[in-house]
Amino acid sequence: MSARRSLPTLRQVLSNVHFRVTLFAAGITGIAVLLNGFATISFYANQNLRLVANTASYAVAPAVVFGDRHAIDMSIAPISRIDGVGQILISDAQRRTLVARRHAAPRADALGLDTAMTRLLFNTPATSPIVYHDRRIGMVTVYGEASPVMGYIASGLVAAIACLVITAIATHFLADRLMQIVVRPLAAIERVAHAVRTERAFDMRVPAAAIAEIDNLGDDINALLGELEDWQHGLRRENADLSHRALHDPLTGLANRAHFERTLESMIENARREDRSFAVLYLDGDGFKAVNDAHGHAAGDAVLKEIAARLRNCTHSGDLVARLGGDEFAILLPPDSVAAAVEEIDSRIAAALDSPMTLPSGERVTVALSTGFALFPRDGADMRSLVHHADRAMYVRKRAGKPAERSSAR
Amino acid sequence: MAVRASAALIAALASFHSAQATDQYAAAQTMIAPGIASRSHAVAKMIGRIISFTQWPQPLTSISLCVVGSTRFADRFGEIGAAAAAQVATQATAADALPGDCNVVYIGALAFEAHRRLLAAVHGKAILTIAEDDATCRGGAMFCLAVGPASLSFQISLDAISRGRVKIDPRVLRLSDAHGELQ
Repeated sequence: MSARRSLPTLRQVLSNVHFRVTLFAAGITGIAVLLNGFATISFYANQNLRLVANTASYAVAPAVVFGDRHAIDMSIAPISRIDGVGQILISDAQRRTLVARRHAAPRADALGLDTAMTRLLFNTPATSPIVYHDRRIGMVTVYGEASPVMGYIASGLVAAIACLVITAIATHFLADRLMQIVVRPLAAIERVAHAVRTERAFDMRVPAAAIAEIDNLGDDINALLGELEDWQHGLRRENADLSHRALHDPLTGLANRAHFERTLESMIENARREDRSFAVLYLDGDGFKAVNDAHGHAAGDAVLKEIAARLRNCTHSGDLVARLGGDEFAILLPPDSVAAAVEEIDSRIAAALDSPMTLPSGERVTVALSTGFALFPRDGADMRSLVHHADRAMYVRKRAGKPAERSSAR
Repeated sequence: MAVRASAALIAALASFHSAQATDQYAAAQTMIAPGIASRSHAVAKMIGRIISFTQWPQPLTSISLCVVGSTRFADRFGEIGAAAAAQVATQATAADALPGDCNVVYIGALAFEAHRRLLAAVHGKAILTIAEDDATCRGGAMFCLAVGPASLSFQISLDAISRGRVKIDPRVLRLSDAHGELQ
């Protein structure tokens, strides 16, 4: 998202669309109202003018009959003061002007707006014949004036602008609400997707939304995340299982040779760096081959498992017990182990193996282990020399005979 | 807009009707050429026009005009009918023997007592009264002509009109000076 800043956000798109829709609706309504209003005003203004002309022709009839110009003027004086009347013209049957009277107070018209509006509203003056005994004795001509209408139009414009402003404000709030309803859940989805992508946070979930489509989308994403989470857990379990299998002996569950060698390497490195010591203990079964031969491989496996269990019991949690192959075992003792500690564990192992083991067949056998150890850095500074030293020490003791060693150990 | 215009119109009409009581208009004036003949002609025309703006309780097919007293400008009354656009029959009558069918009474110079009797006879009837020469129009006639050397005008007595039974077009009333008080 941050890489493509040029793309508009949903909020901007919504805002834009709202603005345009509002402008369009308000504009088209305003124009319709304005046109309709103008047409109505024009209709009534012209109607008004005709009414004025009819009234004037009725009022001036006797005065025209008696040929009294002053009376004519007096007759139309109150009528000429009617709003919207610009000029009243009284002419006789020969179309000679008898009296012309302008509106009492002509208004200032600096911009010429009134004149333009007058031309627009009243393209023709209103006329009404003056009838006396079914004979036309004259004519009243009334010219309109738009200045009172201008006030109406001005107030209408002000009202229209006010309505537009109110509409704009209301639309803004409504758009805000819509944005909140639409944009907020989408932003939540986006946040979750982003976190999943960058942090592998498969445990995150999209919150429920108030819109069906977005809610469905969130549900689907949540379901997908659930599947991803399960899949990831499975993968992790499988990885752990595989790595365990790669580093452990499947029969006894002890560390295998590879694990042993890797741990030994790192221990040498650490001890060298920190200038500390540790011990490597080698163990080899005595008479294991005989058990195998006499009782079968199943019995041999049971014996190996039992040995492993007893070795684990004799060691501390920090010690690494490994089966290097066959009946060959090794123990790595933690740093700062001294010869005395090795002797102590050695005797504990011997004691643990003293009691007989019960085979699956129910028979009981006793198996002993020959041991030999090497101390880092005393007996060797690298893996090969340490292993070699321990191995040799073990064989030396094996050849020397266990019973003597055992008894001496006791 | 429409309401305003209507209101303005009503106001205009109202002032138009009330003008008879409030506004002081100069008497309706018609310029005439000097000479008795043209003055008589103008008087006949004016009487015809006044008749044309008068309404009797019953529609008249022919209007009977009775001339009372000694007149100066009644010698061309034959032209009244044309001006009034109606049939007008003129007859000279005595002040104290007014025929019953008179619709219009044209009053010339009369003795005080005869004048009083004439008014009493006319009172309460549907008769239009026009005085030939009454500058102040207080003699009891509805219309009073004022014949000048070169002009002709009339005045009206609202008092007499309000008491009479003929209807005068209110538009005519404002053509004249209002005289007398309405009771």
